[in-house]
Amino acid sequence: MYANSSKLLGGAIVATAAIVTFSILFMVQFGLPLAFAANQIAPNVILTVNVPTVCEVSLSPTTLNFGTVIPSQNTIYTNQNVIDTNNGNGGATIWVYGGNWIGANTALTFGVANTTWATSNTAYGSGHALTQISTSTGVSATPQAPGTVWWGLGIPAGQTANVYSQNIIITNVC
Amino acid sequence: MGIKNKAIVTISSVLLFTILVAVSHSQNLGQGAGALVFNVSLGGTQTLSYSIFDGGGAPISYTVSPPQYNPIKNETTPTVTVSPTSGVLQPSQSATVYVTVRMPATNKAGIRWDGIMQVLAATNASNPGGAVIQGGLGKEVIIYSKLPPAPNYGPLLYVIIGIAIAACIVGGVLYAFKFRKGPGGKGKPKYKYVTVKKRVRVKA
Repeated sequence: MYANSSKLLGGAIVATAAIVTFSILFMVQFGLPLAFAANQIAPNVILTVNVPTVCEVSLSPTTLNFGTVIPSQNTIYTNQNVIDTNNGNGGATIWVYGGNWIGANTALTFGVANTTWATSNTAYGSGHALTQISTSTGVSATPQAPGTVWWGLGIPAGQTANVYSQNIIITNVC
Repeated sequence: MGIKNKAIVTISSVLLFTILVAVSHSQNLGQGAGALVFNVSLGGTQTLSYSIFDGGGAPISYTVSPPQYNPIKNETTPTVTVSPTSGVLQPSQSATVYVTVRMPATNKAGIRWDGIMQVLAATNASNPGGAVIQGGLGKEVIIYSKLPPAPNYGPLLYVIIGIAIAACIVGGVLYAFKFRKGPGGKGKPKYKYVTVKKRVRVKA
């Protein structure tokens, strides 16, 4: 009888230990509090403010006029530039792309690559051909100093006379 | 110079200054800095976001374009969607742009895509005989493909373990009860053999 009781007692002890162990593992896994924390009052209150880094874009001018250009001729860069002002608190890099030139008669067009951009007032042939894919100019626009991109245009030989227009997109990447 | 002439000059100067200031300045469209970097499991999706805002004094209508990527041999370019695709920002107002990347399950892990998405300020300007300059902001979007994570069984595993432990305990208790000791010291089985003697009358 005593041996029988000891077996039952031993089984009960093992069962209790297993239940307690399982409960602890369960609560630790799922983050349930094992004990209630006493009320605490922090002696100091610390406030932190996170000011993110931002960049902005503001362009001037927003139109470019190259005047009258005859076929096979191109413009010089003088007075054809766009100033990119960044009023944020972080720097940005200027990227550019554009579309084809389209005439008032929409059947008349010529390619976007006839427009060139440069980082200084240089000759037309020294500029980079504009494309329809956004491309980095390497020019920085910072809160301390705006960036400037210069623009030129060449008319293909034999291009039909018309009034042509183009869209140029300038973006600040930050 | 008389007072009247001074007034005319002043007004003219003010008007001229106003015209000069009004000549083509795009609005102050702004955004948080930093590239968006995605680590997307094969067959999975991930969404990140960033903020744009109007730092100027006039509303800005904008459009959002997802990035374009150069194709990679034997890999399928992930699908990138943006939300919203357009909107209007009021002065000092900000908006959140959400970018979701879906990675094809057939790609390999460890591949990298890098492109620029754009938020452009809309313009109604036209310039026959010239170019219209449109401003915007670019955001670099980098995508990495990775292997899917190992399955996480979570609470189900612990429930199974708990049941198994309880079954072992109950079984142990029942076994101990079945083979409980009686007089003599050894535990007896539930059933025992009984020898029956029967007397048979045989006629002499």
